[in-house]
Amino acid sequence: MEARSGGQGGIAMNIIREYSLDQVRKNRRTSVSIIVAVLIASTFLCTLFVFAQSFWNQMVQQEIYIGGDWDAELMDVPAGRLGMVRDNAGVKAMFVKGDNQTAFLPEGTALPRLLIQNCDSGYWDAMYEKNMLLRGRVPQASGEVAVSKDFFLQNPAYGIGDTLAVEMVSNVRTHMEENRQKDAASLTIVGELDVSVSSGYEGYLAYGFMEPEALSPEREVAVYLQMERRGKVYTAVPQIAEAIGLPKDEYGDYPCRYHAALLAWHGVYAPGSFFRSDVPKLFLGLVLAAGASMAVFAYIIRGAFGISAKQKIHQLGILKSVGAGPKQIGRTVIYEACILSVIPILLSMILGYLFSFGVLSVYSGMISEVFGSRMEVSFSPAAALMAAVLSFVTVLFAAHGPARQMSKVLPIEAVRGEQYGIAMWGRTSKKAKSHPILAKHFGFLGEIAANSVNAGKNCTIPAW
Amino acid sequence: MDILRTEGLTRQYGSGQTMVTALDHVDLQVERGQFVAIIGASGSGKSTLLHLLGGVDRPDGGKIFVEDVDIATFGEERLAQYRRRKVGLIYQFYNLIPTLSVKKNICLPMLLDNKEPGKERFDDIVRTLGLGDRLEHLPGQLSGGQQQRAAIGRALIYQPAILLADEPTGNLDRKNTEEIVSLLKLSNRQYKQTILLVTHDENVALEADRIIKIEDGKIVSDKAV
Repeated sequence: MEARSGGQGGIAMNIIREYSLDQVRKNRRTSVSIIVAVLIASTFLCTLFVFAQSFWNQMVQQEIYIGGDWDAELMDVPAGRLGMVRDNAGVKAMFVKGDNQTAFLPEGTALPRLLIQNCDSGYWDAMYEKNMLLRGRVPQASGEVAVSKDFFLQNPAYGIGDTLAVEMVSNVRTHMEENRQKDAASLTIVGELDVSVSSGYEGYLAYGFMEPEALSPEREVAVYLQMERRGKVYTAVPQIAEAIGLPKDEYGDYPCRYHAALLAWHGVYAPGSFFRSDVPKLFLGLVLAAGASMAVFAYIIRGAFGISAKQKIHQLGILKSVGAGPKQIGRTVIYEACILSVIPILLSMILGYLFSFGVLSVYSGMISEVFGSRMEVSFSPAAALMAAVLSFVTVLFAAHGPARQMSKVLPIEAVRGEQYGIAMWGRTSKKAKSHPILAKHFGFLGEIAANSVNAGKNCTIPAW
Repeated sequence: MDILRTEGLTRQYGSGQTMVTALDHVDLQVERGQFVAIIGASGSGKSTLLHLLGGVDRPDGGKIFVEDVDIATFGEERLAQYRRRKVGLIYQFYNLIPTLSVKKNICLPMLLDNKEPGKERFDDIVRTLGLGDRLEHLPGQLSGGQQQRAAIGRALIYQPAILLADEPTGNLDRKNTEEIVSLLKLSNRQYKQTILLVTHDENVALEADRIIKIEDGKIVSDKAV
């Protein structure tokens, strides 16, 4: 027999897809019902994900604000080996703090010394100390210091921009070492920091500036690392410590520590600490909330698809009787789901963001009174994509039931449907009835539910 | 040579006390190229027999051999393929898809197979059916007789071995009835198709080569015309 695939006049385009599209156009009322149901579901999911994204972003920014943007710290690293750390392929960025100094103040100050911690420019950019600046600026060159507010309180004669003639002692950790050699130096005060130190130190805390390259090779400093692959931090950092020859302590551990709170927000946990963290619990809460929302919306949307499928059961019976297979019949419902979900899902990205913006603005206004900071709405393409994918999965899940049910109906049962009260196109088309009372009290969802129940009556196939 | 054979074919509806036996152990043989009319009172089981042979209904017992293959054992996908390629079904109420054009309705079994009919065959069928100027119309824009012609075209397009017609003239006037019967006879002769026709109309039945009468789900007479 002469037959061919595709070609002549293009009529061999996917007939099931064409049929589904025609049905969507003709069944306007049902199509609109499904679109609205999908729009509500996907807007809710998008809102949920924008909330979650904004909350996550807020927590990460807060952690960076109070603890700095670093993943791991290597302690007691000789300055001569900093190059080895910087050149390690696993290290994205490196900041240095150390070369601590004590500056003995001129006569007449309330306390006799400044306890200076020196930091390089990367440290000042990434770490939290800059956020404690009350006045002035952070040090940007050697000889500049930002001092604690206590200094100005107890020595009101001094101000920002003043120069102090001091005697410097390097690497002094206790006042027992005061006898070490003192070098005359001058320090310029460039900023005031909201920091303090125990009165037992008999001095004021101050932060200075250093160039790591200018340090003598044996001088030990603390190195803060941002890793290329944050997820590998717990294995990579000990390897770096070993590579640069740091000694292990009495417990067999290298002198390093991790920014566990920040790492946890990025889903990175030290071995054995996963269940102790609150982040997985919050994530589980999000998964449960999203799952429960999807289940509820899938149930509602399924009702709408059920109505649509029952309205065309006679035609599906005809398709089956002329040779459409169960998969092709099921695909009519799935295609309908795809056609009807594209626009509402895209629209929900905008609505979800706007809704989140409104709600979070109000919420943020309320909590800022208590916490002193506002929660900003952050829109990430990844969150939007995730919401879109889950919305689509919800729609497919909702359509799957009616699709499977339709594919199981015997062709003759479906074709006979018209004789037993099942709607036939263009004759006794069983349109979704309006339910003004339910609509008034329960809104659109009430109307859908009523239509779903109504569609289940007088039907020769089992209700879903 | 038998193209179609049933052994102990049984179909029951309902259960318990409400169970109705629509077909009761029916044995039937039909030779290739025969034009068979099946007659009987309403509810006698003739349409049920046709639907079982067409693979649109499932038997409760017995076997249905089409070209020596038992279709009663087919899974859903294979049965769908059988309906597409081996049989053409014609119903009393045409059963066309109202949103598809006449052309697509006629080509539907092939389109479901992702194929298109050859131009020559398609044109031949359309010319025979007299639907050349109605191909882009929707079924709702055609008369009853034209819709039934389109349904016949759909049944013929895959050139199936067997054509099953369930009261194809039941909804038509005398003139259209005669035309449809002529078309079926032409198809029987021209394409060598085996035709089983269910009808109430004795005049229509007399056009066949053989008349089978069914009562209460059993064949009570089987005569050549």
